[in-house]
Amino acid sequence: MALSKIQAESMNLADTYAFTGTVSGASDVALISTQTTGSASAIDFTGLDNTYNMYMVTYQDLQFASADQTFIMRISDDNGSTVKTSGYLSVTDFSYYDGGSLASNNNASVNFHVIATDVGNASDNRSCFGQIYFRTPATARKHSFLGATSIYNDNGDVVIYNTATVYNTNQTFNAIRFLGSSNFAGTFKLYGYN
Amino acid sequence: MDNTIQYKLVNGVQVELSQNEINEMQLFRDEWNNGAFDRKMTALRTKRNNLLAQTDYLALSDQTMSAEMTTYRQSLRDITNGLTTVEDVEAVVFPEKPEV
Repeated sequence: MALSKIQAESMNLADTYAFTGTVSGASDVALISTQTTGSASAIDFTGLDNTYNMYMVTYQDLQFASADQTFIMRISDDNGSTVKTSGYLSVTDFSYYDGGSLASNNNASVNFHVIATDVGNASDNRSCFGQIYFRTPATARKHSFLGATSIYNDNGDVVIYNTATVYNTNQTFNAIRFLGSSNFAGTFKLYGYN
Repeated sequence: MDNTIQYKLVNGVQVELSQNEINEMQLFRDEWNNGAFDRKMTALRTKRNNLLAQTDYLALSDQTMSAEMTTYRQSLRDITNGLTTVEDVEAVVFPEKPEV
């Protein structure tokens, strides 16, 4: 395509262009991988390192095999062969509203990072959606995780979950595992930030 | 959706779970399922307490509480009576709040 298409203050995209090669300097955010499942007991992201200063995982269109389920995350230092099942300090604040009644509550765990409880299985958009952030996993420290999740549960409540977790040992990790109290479907995306 | 504990997805590849992983996940599921009644009751009480709090001001000495409101608040206080199963809790219908 002739370079005359690129103008001083604009680019003419009347034609269809295929971008090839590496685009640099465009963004500090990179999509590292996407995983989509129709039914799995767990989803692992492995091979995590310090390439990026911060990582974010988003999950969307989550649907569970049965109603009233919970959804959690754990870390691994052997690429998912085993996961840490204790040593967490995880606290969640959540509020729910059904159009008439607003209520708030909280819960905590030492066995995992809590993403959401009371997750439904209906197909009419009552799925959960959210994100988790963490920093440089290959650096030994008491790692922190910050998550936010919204759901529309089986009782007809919209619910917001805000969770902070610390893994309470100086630790590196190279994998994270998402699992629920039932099998689940959904799409997970891992992003890196600089 | 099949709920058998069998597969995990690892970087987009379906992988069969080890027996240790299956045991660990089953334990997690059992613990969650065994707590269903307590979770439902906690949610019910939280909602009930919130509804009570909305009309607490009517109990102040400079307010007059109607008989309907007194009945409504007592119904809220009694709403957990006799509940012994998850199904009982799910079947609870909150009373309608009377006009103030």
